[in-house]
Order: sequence, then structure tokens, then C-alpha cells
Amino acid sequence: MIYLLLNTLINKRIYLCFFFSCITFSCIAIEPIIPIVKNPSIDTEKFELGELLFKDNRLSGNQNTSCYSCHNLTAGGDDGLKTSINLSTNSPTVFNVSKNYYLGWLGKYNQLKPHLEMILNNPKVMNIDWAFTINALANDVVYTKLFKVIYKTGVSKTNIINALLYYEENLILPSKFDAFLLGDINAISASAKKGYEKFKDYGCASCHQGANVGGNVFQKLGVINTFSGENGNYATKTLRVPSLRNVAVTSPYLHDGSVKSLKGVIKLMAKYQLGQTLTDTEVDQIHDFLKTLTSIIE
Amino acid sequence: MNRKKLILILIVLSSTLIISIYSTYKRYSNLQNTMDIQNTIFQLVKLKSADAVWNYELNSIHSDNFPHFDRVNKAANHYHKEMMLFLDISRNIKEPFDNFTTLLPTLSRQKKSRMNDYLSEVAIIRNSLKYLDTLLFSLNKEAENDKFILKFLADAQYQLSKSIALNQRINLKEPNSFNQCVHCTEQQIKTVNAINKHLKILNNQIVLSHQARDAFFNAEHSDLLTTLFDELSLIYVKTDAKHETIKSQILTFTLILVITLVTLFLLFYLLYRTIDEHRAAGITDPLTGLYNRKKLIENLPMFMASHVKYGQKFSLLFIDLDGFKGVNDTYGHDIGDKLLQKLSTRLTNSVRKQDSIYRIGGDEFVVVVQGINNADEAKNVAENLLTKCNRKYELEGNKCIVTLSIGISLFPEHAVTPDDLLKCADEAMYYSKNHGKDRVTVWNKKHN
Ligand code: HEC
Ligand code: HEC
Repeated sequence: MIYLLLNTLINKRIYLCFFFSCITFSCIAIEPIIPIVKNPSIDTEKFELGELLFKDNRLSGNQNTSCYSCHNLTAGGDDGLKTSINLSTNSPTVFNVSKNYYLGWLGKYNQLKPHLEMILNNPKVMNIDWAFTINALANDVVYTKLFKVIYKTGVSKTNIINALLYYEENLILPSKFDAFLLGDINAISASAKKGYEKFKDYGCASCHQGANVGGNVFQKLGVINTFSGENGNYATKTLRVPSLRNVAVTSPYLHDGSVKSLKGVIKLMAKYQLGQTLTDTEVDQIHDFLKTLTSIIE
Repeated sequence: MNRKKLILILIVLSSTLIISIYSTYKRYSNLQNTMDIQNTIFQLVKLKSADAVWNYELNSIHSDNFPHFDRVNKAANHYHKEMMLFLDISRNIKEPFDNFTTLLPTLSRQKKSRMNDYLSEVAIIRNSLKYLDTLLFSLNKEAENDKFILKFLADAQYQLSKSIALNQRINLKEPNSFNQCVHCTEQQIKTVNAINKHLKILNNQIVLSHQARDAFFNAEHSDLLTTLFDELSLIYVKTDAKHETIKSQILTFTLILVITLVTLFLLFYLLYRTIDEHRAAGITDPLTGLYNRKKLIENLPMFMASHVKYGQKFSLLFIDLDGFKGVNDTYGHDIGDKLLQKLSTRLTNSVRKQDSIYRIGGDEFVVVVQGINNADEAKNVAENLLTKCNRKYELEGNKCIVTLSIGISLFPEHAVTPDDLLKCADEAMYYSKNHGKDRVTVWNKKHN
């Protein structure tokens, strides 16, 4: 009896889901890239607290590192170094990071919270000394005020993590290209539009796609032609395809930061991921297109 | 006496009932809560539908111009969330159910990693197809008048359609392939080689993607969800049945308990009522609980009538305490009262069943000895009283000794009216008192 009842229930739900997902996605399904929009009902106080924490050196064990050290918010959300200090990989941008389905170059994490806890505790990154940090913030008037307003419990480990997480989750910064996708056809140049067509036609969009133009699928570098790096020491691993949002301002490129210029990566991608040699105009056009993915910061 | 026994039995009964209700209740509370199971079932329903959506998204990955990995990943994340909730809700459900639930995360993780494999293959196939399409399109335009190239193109296009057919798992006929371009320029040969390379990669990737996809739709995983469902329904039905029996048990027990308690209450009420009535009628003595003089005067005519009717005799034993005043003076009235109470119990325990005792004055008692044939029988009773009541009384550490002086009158020999009968007994008692106390005297004419 119950079994039958529940079974019909399941089936109904499934059809309903199909129905909705068809409606909601059909309008934008033709494009490989889904526009992003800012969260309209953001809690500004909490967001600002998160930003303060993001920039605060007292969150690190040696008290001279913050998230900001490697994720510069005024320079594309990365550090501009080949590989970050103490680390063997290039720092990716933190902008729009919540739109990634996998985090880090190897994509080992698929949720921000455990990833954040890992960074904070990682001796090579933040190496946080919780007792010190909580004590320091609890003696800081600016923080005690903000924490009291936002959380009843004041300064605590859970609340610090919660505020940072809120900041990461809501650091959504749309670009000119999003405006274009949402109907403003003059938002990007003619050359960028051509570049976008090339991007789709040559198959870049098979890997770099979705809301974050990447971050949702795993690939090696060198699927058509084996890639061993400019000086033969590129180690091929299965990587999360990186997001191309803000790519124009996050040089150097690749997970080991081995390529300096964006045009260089475009050529490299075409050659090793597609088995294709692009003309200079095509490279320029794609380059123009990628530049439109840079976040607009007020 | 009977009533007292009944009350005792009822009290024992109700306490056993309370204990059994408590133990049944304990069993009940140890049982799996059916609400828990219900919630688990509902969560499983959600999990199953999340799984169905996930499968649906993966199935429709080819139905868009660009495959939307975001949607598949979103469905996977949603599935994961529902699974964590399910594991959380179901953690209280015991063996053998937990064997299945431990399997669930492993199989789900497997499914997720196979999904990623599949998506990677899909992406490569898609970019190969896109690339080939673009290349063939431009080559076609360039070589409109070059029949050699066109021949090669026709073959390449055929190969491409074969790949697509393979992707859709359609079997095609196998012609001789044409993949050498003898008359081509160097540039053209380069392009042709690129095309051939892509065609080969495409074929390989499609086979890989089929493998990844087959692996993704793991029968073990979907079977597990069904098994979980069956198990849960079974557990639910079982526990529900158990709950019902226990509920009805508790209900019957409680019903019996209520009935017993009501009877108990009634009995207590009745007992209270009789005591109260006696007190109200003024026929018992509050200190000793014995009847008083009033009751004796009331009863005597009845005794006389009934004894006359059956041709039997009865005696009055007039009892007076020797030395009671001394006890009162030395130890105080409290001790005196206690002594009287003790004495009354001894009296009550020493007389025969049919005899009744009255306290008619401060230290004066009357025992009516019924159904006898001569004064000697009454005298036996009286002498028994002497021996029983003359033993020491232990009162709050004080040892008191009182003795009894007893006078006996016999109905109808000595007197036929209550007053006379009492007077005779009184006179006999005085005789005992004046002749050394602690003795029994049967009335005699010369005593007056
Ligand atoms: C020492 C430099 C450094 C510091 C400090 C640092 N990061 Fe990072 N961050 C990196 C590097 C390098 C990576 C890429 C790691 C990898 O996957 O190999 C990264 C990755 C990330 C990612 C994943 C981005 C993506 O696209 O997958 C997030 C989110 C992030 N960091 C947030 C933070 C936050 C929040 C803090 C402060 C608590 C922080 N980082 C501090 C260097 C740093
Ligand atoms: C087969 C999948 C695939 C295809 C197709 C592909 N890419 Fe990539 N792309 C990757 C992977 C994987 C990486 C990361 C490689 C690394 O960091 O070592 C990457 C990295 C990049 C980067 C550097 C990002 C950064 O922040 O370091 C750019 C730019 C880029 N791709 C552009 C393109 C363009 C333009 C195309 C089309 C011509 C393209 N990709 C086609 C998989 C692909």
C-alpha cells in the first residue's frame, strides 16, 4: 500500500522536475555560457565583515599573510606571480569562485566550506592560530561591533568562517559579456563577437563553458597533441578546466604559471587541445572576446 | 477483616499493574520511532527523485548545441545534499539497514567520479566534432573546383557521419576508406592529415565515452536505492505492528488499573464512612476504638432477646484495672493512654471471636461472653484474660505492671434486665477488688 503510494509520488515529482528544468533552461540553452548576476538581496554588513577578514593579516599564523596577499582584489583576484609563495601552483582568481563546481587546480573540493577550512589550517597558506586570532579580533572595536550586530554569539571560530564564506559566496562580479548575453548587443566590440563565434566554432566552449566559462569539467592539457611545456617540464595531470572569467587580468597562465601572455595560451590551447593553428586575426579576436569577461568593478 | 484483605490485594494488584505498564512503556520507547522511519522514507523519495534528475540531465547532455555541464553538476550536488540528509535522518535505524546505508556513499562517490570521466569524454568529442565541422566547412568552400579534394572531403564527411552514427550507436556499412590525397598541395595534405587524426581521435573517444556512460549507469547503485526502499517499507510495517500491539497492551493494563483504583477508592470511602458514622453515633471510644457504654446499653436487650430465643446464656465480665491511677500519676497521662491502647489490643486478641468488648469508663471495661452454658465457661475466658493482660507493658522504656479485677454476672441466672446484670457484675468486681485484686469473682447473692 504505502509502497505504491510513494512510488506514484516519486514519479510525479520526477515529471515535475523535468518540466521545470526544461522551462528554466530552454531560453539560454543555445549559448554555452550562462550569464551571471549579482545577488540583489545581499547582507552588506556581513559582506563587509567578510571583506575585512579577507584582508586581515591576523588570520595567519605569521601575521603577515591574508587571503588578499595571494588574491588581490584590485588586480583580478590573484597575485600575478608564477606560483604563489610557498606553493607550487598559480593562484586563481577568487572572483565568482562560487560558480565553480570544483575548486583548486585539481578540483578536489566541490564545496567552499571544507576548502576554506583547509586553506586556513594549511601550514603552507594561512596556518591560522585560532586562539590568537579570536583573541585579537575580540579586542578590536571594529570587529566586536560588527560581530555583535551580525551574530549574537560575537567573535568565534564558526562565525569567522561563516563571514568569510559569505564573502566568497557573494563575490559575484558580472562582466560586459554578461550584459551582452542578457541582450545588450552593443556591450562588446565586433571583434569580440567574432572571437566568441570562433571560441564556439573551434570547440573551446566544449571545455570552457557554463556560468563560469569553466570550472565544471575535468581535462588534461594535451588531448589532441601531447603537451610537454615550453622547456619540456610541464607535468600533465587531470585538471579542473579553469574558469576564463577575468583571464585577461590574471597572467601568468596555466596551473604552473608557465605562460606569460594570454595570446600565447590561446595559441597553445588551439594547438594542443584542438590540433589547430589559428591565424593572428583569430587569436586577436578570441583575445578581444576573453577581455570582455573581465569583471566590472565599481 | 475481609474488607482489609481485599484492600491489600487491590493495592498489590495496582502496583503490579503500574510496574507492568511501566515496563511495557519502556519497551515501547526503546522501539524505533515510526516517525523517524516515515521521515527516512520521505527523504529516500527525495533522494530517488534527485537521482532521477541527475540521470535525466546526463542523458540529455547531447540534446543541446553545447553540453551543459553546469546542470549535470548541479544535479549531482543536489543528489549529494539529499544523500547527506538521508544518511543523517536514517542513522538511528539499526541493523540490517545500516549495511545498506554504508554502501550508499561509496556507490554515490563512484557514480560522481564516473560522471566526471564521462563529461570529459563528452567535451573532447564535442570539441573534435566542432573542430571537424569548422574545418570541413572551410575546406569545402576553398576547393569547390578541385575534384580530388572533394573526393577526399566526401570520404571525410562520410567518416564523420560514421562517427556520429557510432555516437548514437548506429551500425553502418564499411566501404573502403579513402584517406590518401595524392594530388594535393602540401598545405592540403597537412589539413587532410589533421582531419584524419581528428577522425581517429573521435572514434576512440566515442568508444571511451560509451564505456564511461555505461559505467555511470551502475545497476548496483539503482538497485541499492530500490532495496533501501523495500527495506524501509518492511521496517515501517513491522514497527508499526509492534507499536499497535504495545499500544493495546498499555490500554488494557491502564483500563484494569483504573478499575482497581476506583474500587480501592470506593472501599476506602466506605471504610471511612463507617468509622465516621460510628463516631457520629458516639458508639466507639476514640482512644481505643472499642465500643462505649452507650453501645453496651443499646446491645444488651438484643443479646438477651437472642439468647432467650435459642435457650442459651451469656455473661458480662466487668473489668477494672488495678493500679492504673498509679501509672497515671507516676508516668503521666500519655503513658496511661498508651497503656489503655495496648491493653485493648491484648483484650481483643484474648477473647473468643463471638465476644465483644466495651470501654465503659476510664479504666473500666466490659466483655460480653456469648453463647455459653454455665458461668464456668465465662470464668475460663476471664482467667485467660488475667494471664494475658497481667504481663508487663513496655511503654517508651518504662515497664508498667497493672492487674485486672474481674466480676462475672450470668444471664439469665443472676439478673434479667440490663441494669441489674451490669450491677451484679459490678458487685462481683468489687468483691474481687476488696479481696486481693488480680482475680475473678462470679456473682453471688451474698456479695450484695
Ligand atoms: C599563499 C597564497 C595564498 C593565500 C594566502 C590564499 N590563497 Fe587561495 N589560493 C592560492 C593558490 C595557489 C590556489 C590554487 C591552489 C591549487 O589548487 O593548487 C588558491 C585557491 C583558492 C581558491 C579556489 C579558486 C578556484 O578557482 O578554484 C579559493 C576559493 C581561495 N583560494 C580562497 C582563499 C581564501 C578565502 C584565502 C584566505 C583564507 C586564501 N585563498 C588564501 C593561494 C593562496
Ligand atoms: C579539452 C578541453 C579544453 C579545450 C578544448 C580548451 N581548453 Fe583551455 N584549458 C583547458 C585546461 C585543462 C586548462 C588548464 C591547463 C593548465 O592550467 O595546465 C586550460 C587553460 C586555459 C587558459 C588559461 C587559464 C588560466 O587561468 O591559466 C586559457 C586562457 C584557455 N584555456 C583558453 C582556451 C581557448 C581560447 C580555447 C579554444 C581555442 C581553449 N582554451 C580550449 C582545457 C581546454
